[in-house]
Amino acid sequence: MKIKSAFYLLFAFILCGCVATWVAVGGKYKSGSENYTVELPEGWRQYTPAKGKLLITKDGFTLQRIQIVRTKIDTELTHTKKKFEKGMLPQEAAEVVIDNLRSNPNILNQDIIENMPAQVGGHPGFKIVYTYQNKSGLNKKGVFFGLLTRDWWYEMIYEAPERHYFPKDLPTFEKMIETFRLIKDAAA
Amino acid sequence: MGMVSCATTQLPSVGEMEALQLQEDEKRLWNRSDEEQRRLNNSSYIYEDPVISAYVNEVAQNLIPQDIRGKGLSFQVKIIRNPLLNAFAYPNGVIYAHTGLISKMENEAQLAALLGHEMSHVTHRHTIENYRSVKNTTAVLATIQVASVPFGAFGNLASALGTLGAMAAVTGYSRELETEADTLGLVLLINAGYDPKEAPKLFEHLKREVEQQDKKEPFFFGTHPRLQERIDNYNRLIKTKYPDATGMKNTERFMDIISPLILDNAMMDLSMGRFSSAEDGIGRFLEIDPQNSRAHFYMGELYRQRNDAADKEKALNEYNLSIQYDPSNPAPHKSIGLIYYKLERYQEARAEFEKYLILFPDADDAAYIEQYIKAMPTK
Repeated sequence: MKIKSAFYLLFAFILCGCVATWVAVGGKYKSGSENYTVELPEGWRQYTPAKGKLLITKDGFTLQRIQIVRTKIDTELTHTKKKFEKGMLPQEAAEVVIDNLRSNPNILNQDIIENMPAQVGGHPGFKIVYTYQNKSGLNKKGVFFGLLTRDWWYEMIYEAPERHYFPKDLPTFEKMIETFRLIKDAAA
Repeated sequence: MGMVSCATTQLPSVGEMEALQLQEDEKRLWNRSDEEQRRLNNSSYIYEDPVISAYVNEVAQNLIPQDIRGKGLSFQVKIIRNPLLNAFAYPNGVIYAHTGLISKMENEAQLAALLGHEMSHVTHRHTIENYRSVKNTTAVLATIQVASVPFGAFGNLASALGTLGAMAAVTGYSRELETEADTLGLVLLINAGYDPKEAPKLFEHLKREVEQQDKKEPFFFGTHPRLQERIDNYNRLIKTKYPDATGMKNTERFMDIISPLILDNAMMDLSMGRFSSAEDGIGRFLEIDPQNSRAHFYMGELYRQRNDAADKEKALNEYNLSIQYDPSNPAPHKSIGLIYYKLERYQEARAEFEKYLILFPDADDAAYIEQYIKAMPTK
């Protein structure tokens, strides 16, 4: 009997854990600490253990993911020693992002399809479209929106397998990006 | 790394055999090498330049000792597009050298020193000796784990090499086997007519390079103690065995052929933000080809992106040289425009951006440039 109770307890614990890990999202999302609001698509789920970033998917991260991250402007990047600097033009910031992508040793055949200016939350930013092959040989495609404010760096990424999945959820991401707004002024 | 602490039974070298005969476990190792190489060769890591490839292979062929020829072991050198200091050999005679390592060499004798060292690992069957020593031990697992640790930019290539490649590239061999490769490699170098004093010079140069970098590199030739071992071994051998030996260096031929690789490698360093290494590479290229518009443009890019004190002036100077040596090159006009734009010298910025778009109307970044032009006050 004791074993049975322990089993139910464990089951309930796992269930609670799962619920806490994946949270259904949709509608207005406000992050006061990260200074932005955005409209999230219905039917997607947020991966809550991802601290300091908004990470959502519909069918699992291998099939599609959208993430929004804010970092301090002088934070070291993962793959290049270059850094963002105050007063950088969006094009210069895009160069840093591209160099970081090109210096990523975990992916192959990186290619930049598009690099152009874009309005992000009503502020001048940039948009990069890229493709690469992961270690398993899967071709992936991503869209990267970037915005530099005075002290912060925002990145908004949608990534999915190039075939089938990427075009499927791209309109959802683009619609979501249109709703992105900073709560306080960009100079803050 | 002291991975092979207990010496195994010494196998006869290929030169000591009538014909190359592989033992069962060695055959499996060769098959595994083929697999790992196939994966590597099909990746985007391989640096494709037929002239440079033919040249490094020619240098390797000239080093092959007489007692190896016709025994069923051949050598092939392939270059990996990677700015870190690394080279390694598979047991089947295929040697991989990184652009980062080759670009730091000063002459053909130094290239021959490296290849001689790697070829000696192959002719004396060091991989199978190493493998037998560590087989079924935690050291194998440790090696694989070391190879899988992300070392930062480009470093994780180790995990793409496979176990054999990673063992050779990351941990190297035991101190005894490495010393043997130094000793035998130096004989190959001297027999091929090269100056043996260039061997320690190469490793001294690499050691300085490692000391200058603020981050440690993961590979054998990028680690300070291993480089010091090579320097000590070569200096001792030269002093005791070959004090009067001299030979060719072939500096001019080497630099003429290798210089495009030096510039390409510097671009990788620049992408990684390794500015001092990139500056060194572009500078070396410009010594060979001082009127190269592309190289002056890259030097300008380095200064603009590094953005230290006085770098703006240096960048403008390099861009102007780039234009002087090739007035049809659009790229420096854009970069000058960006500098002026940020300095709010709008009239000059506008003129440069417009020249850029005239020279390169289909530029990928035309939308950025048009946006700058639109945003600038007209007066």
